Amino acid sequence: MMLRILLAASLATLSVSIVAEPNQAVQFDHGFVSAGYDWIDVEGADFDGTVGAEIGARWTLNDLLLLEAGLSGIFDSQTETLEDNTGSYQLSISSWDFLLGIQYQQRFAERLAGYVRLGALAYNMEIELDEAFYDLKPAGSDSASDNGFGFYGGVGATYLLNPGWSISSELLFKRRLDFLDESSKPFDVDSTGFSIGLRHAF
Amino acid sequence: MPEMLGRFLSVLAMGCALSACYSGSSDSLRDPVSLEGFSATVQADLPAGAQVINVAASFYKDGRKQPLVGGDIIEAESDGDAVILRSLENLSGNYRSQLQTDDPAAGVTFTIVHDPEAAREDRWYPVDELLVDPGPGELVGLSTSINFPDPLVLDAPIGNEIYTDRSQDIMLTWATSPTTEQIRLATVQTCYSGERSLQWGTSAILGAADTGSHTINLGALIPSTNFINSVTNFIDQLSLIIVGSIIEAYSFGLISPQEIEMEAFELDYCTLSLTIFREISNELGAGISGGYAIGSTSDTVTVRFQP
Repeated sequence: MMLRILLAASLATLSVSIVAEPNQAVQFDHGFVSAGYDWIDVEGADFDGTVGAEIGARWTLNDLLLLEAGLSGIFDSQTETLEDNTGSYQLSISSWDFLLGIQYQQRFAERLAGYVRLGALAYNMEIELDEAFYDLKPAGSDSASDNGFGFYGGVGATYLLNPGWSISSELLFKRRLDFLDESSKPFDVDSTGFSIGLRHAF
Repeated sequence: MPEMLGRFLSVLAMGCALSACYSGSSDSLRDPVSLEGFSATVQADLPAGAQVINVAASFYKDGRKQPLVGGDIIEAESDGDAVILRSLENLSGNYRSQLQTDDPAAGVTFTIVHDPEAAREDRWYPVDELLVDPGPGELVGLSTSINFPDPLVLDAPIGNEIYTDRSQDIMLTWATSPTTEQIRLATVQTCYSGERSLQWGTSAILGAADTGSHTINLGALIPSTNFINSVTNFIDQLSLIIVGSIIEAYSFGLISPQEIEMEAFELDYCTLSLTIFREISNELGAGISGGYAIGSTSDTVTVRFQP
């Protein structure tokens, strides 16, 4: 699965390179930062939302396409405290994601443009368990971390404030595949985030 | 079971005062829980015609029921199956499950083990990677086995037989067996009034002699006036847990005492699930000084009261 994702990302990048005009060198276009709120979705669990942030850069491939790389994260998204025969437990997830993909941008007006993002991601995620036993046995914590791959896609819009700065707003979906893939129950961690950001062209 | 629960606008916990409505003999198989050391109350029941054993168990220390937490579990093992008993309510200390059998003569063995991963197998996350193990509790290692008496099959009444008057008698008959040590009757009554429903249960010992028949007056099971719960001792609770497994009733809702305005409940009809148990006692395992281990076979018939 991971190999397929990497292959797909490579093909996408290759396609982008072909789409880029032959004589046009890949040039740095802008850097960006964004912050927002992520809704976390894990099958079988109910994590609460959490703040998310991203920082990255984009390079022009042609008038419409940009190559992008970014680093983003979700921080301490928690489940409710659940109870069963064994005890009560709560889990929290944090993840760092490295994103690599393309952005297709379409200008709607002089200052306004919409865009679509698509790409692959590599994650480093940690999950922490806090468990208690109704005060009949001592409580404790455990954690596990794993690296893996996934993909992302999103849509957004930018508004040009001045020749150097623009603001953006976007909705971004990320799927981190097969977290703890060597365990008995690997699972995917999805997040859907709404963010507002700033872009600066140098 | 959830569908059944959903139908109940009110599932009230009550029962007929045994002395006033429906009385039984004293229980000759069940010794009391010891106030010192470890005790167990364990029952395994094999319903007629089924290859599924219903099991229920509670364990005690110094007379107090012990919830099992942190990876301590009760395992029940038959000839071809092994299951973990789960409590219907966290910390209740009452555990139950069902397991398959091809050879009931092999019996069932209950053992308390410390298996942190198995205890959490229903959780969504990988417990082999994420686990807080506080270590075994004091009860780990206790074990007891249960064998069954001859099967019991009811010959009468026939299922869905309709009764129309509280003065009518219901006659239960079955083939006798020399393996019988005690006969118990447990009932679950569910009455309906439009969209409303009520459910309650009784459990009583009929005696040590296996007469092969028993007659109950319908009015003793469905009184026409107020009545209060009597199914409050743990012996009857465990029996009703077993009955609940057989007929998929909300058996734990039957236990705590409550009064009900029966006059205010204009019943359309009632269903009565009648279960006869043939019971034998089994020796308790090493280190268990009180309580009981009952093996039983049973048969259930459901009839209808439509006044």
